[in-house]
Amino acid sequence: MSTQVLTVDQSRPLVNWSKLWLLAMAGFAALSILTLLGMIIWMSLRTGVPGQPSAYTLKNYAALLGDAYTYKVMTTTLIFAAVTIAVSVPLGFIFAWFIERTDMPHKTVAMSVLSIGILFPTFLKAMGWVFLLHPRIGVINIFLMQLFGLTNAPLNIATVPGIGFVQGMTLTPLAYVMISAAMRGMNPALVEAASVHGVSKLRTLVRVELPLIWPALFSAIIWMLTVAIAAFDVPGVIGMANNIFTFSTAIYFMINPNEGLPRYGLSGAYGTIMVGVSLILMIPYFIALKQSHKYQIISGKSYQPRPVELGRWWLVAWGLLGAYFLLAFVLPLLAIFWVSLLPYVQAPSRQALSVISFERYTQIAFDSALLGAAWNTVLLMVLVPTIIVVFCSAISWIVTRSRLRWRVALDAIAFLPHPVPNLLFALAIAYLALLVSNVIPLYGTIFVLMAVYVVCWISFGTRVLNNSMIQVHRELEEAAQVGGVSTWRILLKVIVPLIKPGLIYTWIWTSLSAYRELTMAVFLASPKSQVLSTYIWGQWHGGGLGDAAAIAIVMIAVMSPLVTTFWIYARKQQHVASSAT
Amino acid sequence: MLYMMIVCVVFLHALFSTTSAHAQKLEQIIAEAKKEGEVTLVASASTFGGKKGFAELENHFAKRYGFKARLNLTGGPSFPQVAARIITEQKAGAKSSTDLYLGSDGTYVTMHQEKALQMVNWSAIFPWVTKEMEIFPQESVLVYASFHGIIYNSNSIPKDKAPKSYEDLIDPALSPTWAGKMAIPAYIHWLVRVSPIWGREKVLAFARKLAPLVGGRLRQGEEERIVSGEFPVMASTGGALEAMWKWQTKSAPLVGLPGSTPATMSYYQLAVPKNSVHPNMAKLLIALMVTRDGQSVLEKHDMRSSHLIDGTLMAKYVKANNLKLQDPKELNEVFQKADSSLDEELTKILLK
Repeated sequence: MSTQVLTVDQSRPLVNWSKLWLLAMAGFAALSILTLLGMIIWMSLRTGVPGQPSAYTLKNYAALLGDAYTYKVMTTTLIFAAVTIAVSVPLGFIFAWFIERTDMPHKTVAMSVLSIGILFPTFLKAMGWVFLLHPRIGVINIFLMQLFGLTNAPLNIATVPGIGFVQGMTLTPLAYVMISAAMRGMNPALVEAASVHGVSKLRTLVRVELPLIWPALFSAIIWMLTVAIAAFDVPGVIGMANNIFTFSTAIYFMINPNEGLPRYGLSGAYGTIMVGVSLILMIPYFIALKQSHKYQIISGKSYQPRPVELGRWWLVAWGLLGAYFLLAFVLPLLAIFWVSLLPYVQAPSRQALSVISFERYTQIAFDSALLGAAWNTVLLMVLVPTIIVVFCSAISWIVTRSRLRWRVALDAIAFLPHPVPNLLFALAIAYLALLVSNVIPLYGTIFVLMAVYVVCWISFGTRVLNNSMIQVHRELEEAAQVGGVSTWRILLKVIVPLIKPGLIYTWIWTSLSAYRELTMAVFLASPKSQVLSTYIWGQWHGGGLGDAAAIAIVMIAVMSPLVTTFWIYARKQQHVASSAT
Repeated sequence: MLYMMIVCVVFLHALFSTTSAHAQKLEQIIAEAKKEGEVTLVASASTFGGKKGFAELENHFAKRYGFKARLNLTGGPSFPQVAARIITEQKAGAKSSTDLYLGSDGTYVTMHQEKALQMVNWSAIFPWVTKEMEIFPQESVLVYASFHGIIYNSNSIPKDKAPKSYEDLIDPALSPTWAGKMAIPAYIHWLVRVSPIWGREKVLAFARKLAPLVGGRLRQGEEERIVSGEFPVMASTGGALEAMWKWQTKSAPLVGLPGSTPATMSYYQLAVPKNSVHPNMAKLLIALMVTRDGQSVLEKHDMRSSHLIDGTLMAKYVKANNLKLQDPKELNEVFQKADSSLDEELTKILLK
């Protein structure tokens, strides 16, 4: 059976509309990605603001490379990213090892504890950390100073390593997900051989397991690096007020300057350099991914590796996980809740207790702008994943089912938004929307946000759906084709039901991403396209710390049941998808 | 012939549009505003009392103009950032994100120079608006005046170690209390304001000594971060006294004082960008803000007001203290003639 799926059959109409539609959708998506990337480079070669005539010039690169501030920002970003990796990857590894490789009790609870971390927006946790570990108002610092009679705060979150630590803590669940998948696929025979030969558990971990999952660890490191470079949440919430500027916040000030007009050209030059760096970083990432297959030599589904017996050490495992949950989730949320009850930020005391009230919460109930932001958020949570699923299905179908020559190029283009910092796409679309605002009045609307979310998360959707489609044998499709069924019907009646878990997983994951997203939204939101994250950011950045805290608590309370249900369902679908392998 | 006709048409169109803009009557504006139905201001989330203040303004608006409309506040970037956005949108041919612009002298000079604002004959249309309130004639209207100065947390800085002027901030005998913890504004306008009093060299020398003491940068409206003790002192903010009055009503430990002698002022103005989506609603809201009703909302929530409106807090304060305030038009000239190299140098020293 070697029927070429996209070759023209003489007995059928010359124009296959359903295939053309799929090609058009995939082509449109690919073109959008390339246009936005091209826009960044184009911006970098121009001066002035969109719409102003400008000659092509390399002035922006000269200005950027000749400014000592650039190197200061780059150094800060690299230190921030290094600390982020140093915190998230080891913690992710330790938790993955406990959950995947040991007999730790209540693993499902442990997995849920880590999953919860992914669900809640990073910037909310960052707000909580300010109230916990700031050297002057951090509750933990005040407690430690009182306990040990210290004159200076022992911990300081308002430093580059400090914000790196917070970012690392928030990315730990993601690192866990990446590493645990590799651990599940690791060949346990080598570990068991070490055990038979009397090698200690620690030595086995360091000498056998670590090298085995090194490709996955390396992939996680590169991934964390790209996320940290682009992250706006933590550097924005903690860094900006404390004179700490990373790549993302520096670009934010180039586009929203306190002196003069936005410097799109300069930010374009910044962006072009970052795109180059990101693409270079992808080379070792791909090499690592390729190498990882060498280690996946599990012989069969029935093979059950013997878990490492923890004995009493399970207490340490749960102690670590509990401490993480407390620090990364419970305490920041409690701190936000506390601040939301006060007329102004104060450390817990008898005096502070006497002035707490729920006044801010009653005000929120009548805030129509907040309702508007909530509506926009829900709209994005529904429309973005739906569009992504449609476009990604078209791309993945062409990549995995067709024999088109350029399908590899299409796959590579679809993957591009993965390594490139997402805020650059936001920057490019802001520029483009301004440029064409006379012809297509989309500037400042929710559609701009929608478009950039779709473009940026296409890479995620195509990775999941490529894997799902590869698992569907061609015979089914070919049989339908022989029976004269159209491509649309084959897609809808044969392929979609088979890849349903992958589709649902993609839908839910991107929906949750739309709920959490701040980095891109903060560059694009206008009064008519406010979402919950930008609304809270506006309050926080405008000095309304208590109001921001109260809205954050309401956002978490209202959205948690929905988000958690989504997540549980997504996990189930992921299991269904993986068990079909 | 064709050329002559085109010239005539263009001339007549320009003449007609100019005449109509100047001759616009309050009734016409109200009729147009009714069709628009809403207005949006992008500014700090606490502006004019935030959500609460805007709800009260809606009621005053309905009473004054005889129809209900939605007055929206969107928490957004700082004054200079909003100005930059409006100008960018205008140059790109897009509609403005905000229907009206709130800012102080420094940014208004830029808006004026960029011709970004609509010409409105405020004092001719609205009987309660005086010529004196039009800081940039037929462009902007003064909504409140503020003393520029220092704010500090009285719990973090004892009275005997507290600064009494900008110079005290860099005094080696006092500065160890706030070294590395002091916040400065995220912009350098406050020092440009002092430059006519101190001179360029003194301003630069001051900035160089200040830079190592800086621990963070805040925008106006972020006084809660001083109240909380996150930063013990903020070197300068527009509205230091008003911030103190506002927070002391909540028993918060905030002290504010003018930073220089004579005290420098900030004149906060409202105007309608040329590319405003709801220009008529914007005009009505601006005019409302300079009525006693509008000022009462400002006073209630922000303790701010205009010294040009009888009976306001600021008018009473100026009268009681027999103060002669800086002439806003002179202040505009300071910014118009501002040496751009001073701006660049100050930015390099303090903000990079």
